[in-house]
Amino acid sequence: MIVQLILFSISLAMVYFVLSAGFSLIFGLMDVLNYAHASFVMWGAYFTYFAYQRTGSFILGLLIGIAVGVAVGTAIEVFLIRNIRGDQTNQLLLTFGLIYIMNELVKIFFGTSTIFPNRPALFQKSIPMGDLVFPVYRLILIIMGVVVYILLMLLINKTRLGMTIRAGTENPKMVRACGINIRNIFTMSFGIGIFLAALGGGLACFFLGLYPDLANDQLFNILVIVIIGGVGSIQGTFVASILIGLTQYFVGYYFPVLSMAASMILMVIILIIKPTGLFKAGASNE
Amino acid sequence: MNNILTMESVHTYINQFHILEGIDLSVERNTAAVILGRNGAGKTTTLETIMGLRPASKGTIIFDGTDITKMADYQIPKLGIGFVPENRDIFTALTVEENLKLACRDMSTFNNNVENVFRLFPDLKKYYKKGAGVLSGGQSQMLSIARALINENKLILIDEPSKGLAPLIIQEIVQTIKEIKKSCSIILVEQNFEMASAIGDYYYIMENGKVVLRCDKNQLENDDEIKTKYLGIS
Repeated sequence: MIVQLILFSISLAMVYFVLSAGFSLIFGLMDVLNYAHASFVMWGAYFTYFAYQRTGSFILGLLIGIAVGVAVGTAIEVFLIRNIRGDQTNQLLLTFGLIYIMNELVKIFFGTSTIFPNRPALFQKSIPMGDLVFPVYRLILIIMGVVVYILLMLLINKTRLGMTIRAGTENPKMVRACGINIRNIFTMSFGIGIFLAALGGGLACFFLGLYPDLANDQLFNILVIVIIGGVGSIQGTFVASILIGLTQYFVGYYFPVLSMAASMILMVIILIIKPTGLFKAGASNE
Repeated sequence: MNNILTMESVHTYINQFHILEGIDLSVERNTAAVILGRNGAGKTTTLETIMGLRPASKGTIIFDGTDITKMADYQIPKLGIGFVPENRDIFTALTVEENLKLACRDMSTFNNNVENVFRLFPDLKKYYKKGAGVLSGGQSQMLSIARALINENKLILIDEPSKGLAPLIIQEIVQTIKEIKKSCSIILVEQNFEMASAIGDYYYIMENGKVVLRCDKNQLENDDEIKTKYLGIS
């Protein structure tokens, strides 16, 4: 039982990680707190599911969900966020405004009722584990989280783009003085962040469910995870996702009433011990 | 045209503050111009305006025949200008190697130029694979200068390289800048009179956002009035 609970917690944690990593990346590099991040998760989930329903192919649906999210996200960065960089009050107003617009658009396009999505055949299978079974879909979610983490770490630590992102996190002005167009790097990073939100939302749509408050619920989880992990740190986000996944699952199993409060209590305890979160922002060479 | 850089009536604002109030300055090819002046005179802003980091609101800046006044900041280094900022601004989240690679605009020249960097700064070879955060103040300054040398620049702007360094390290940096001077032009901002005097071919003295005097080495070293009036040296 414990093994199954742990595996279920890890699958939840990996979904949280993919949803939160983009938020952390965008804040770490661009100093932009994109509160609308969870709305891109919701768009990823809805567009993926409806494209899947129309085309019959989940992969194609996922690609469409991601494409819609990245296209809208990149346009928002170029036309709106770029103009208010460094102005956190306006960023707060803008991204909160976007939450309302994006969430209302979902209601207009897809309705206000909760949708119980039908899973593709593969996602309905299970793997026998001794006396228990483990759903293939949850295994796929775990694989998604691990693969995203490895690819993100490789991108940040082993590529020129990653090198520029790390340098830009620390001192964007000096990156410009080295002859690098940091605006393009910001746009690319924002696009990667939104890609992760839409990927997570799309692949986990059967797990998260499709309902009008999806973005608000996930924004809460994302903020708690990113604060615990250390805002801007990918490793921190990964570790914090696992902590929150385990906490929510175990507390939810044994003390269901405390499930949501447990995340907040954990955050408060960690912040008392380490006020900046578990990891340092932008640091990737430790 | 003998000037690598010419600034004419350049004005720069930082927020509502009028920092540069009509700078006129020129740098001849393969020479070292030194900008002197008290704190707040506008020396650092002059360098940042040339780099496009603080764009000029008025006036013209011509570099090697190209008007760079309104050019995007990231385009300006590509013309052949290197920048060594006041606080070194090395990237501590990167290794020494990564700092140099990030600054390198043409990777086909990297291996050759990095050897030149190691010849000037052997310490950087020792710490090449290490995080730049572990470097001492002097080594950080070396890395900051090395970042400008990793490209074949025509002009290098160096802002107060002696700041916070021990006299022995300053001597080392002076020798290196003299070596750099053989292959490109330099604008050096410096408060350390000995360093300025050892490197400069001619001097601009700034006060309240304006160039108030251009003089040669002889004048600077022997005219007590210049020293007391503008530099506070008695």
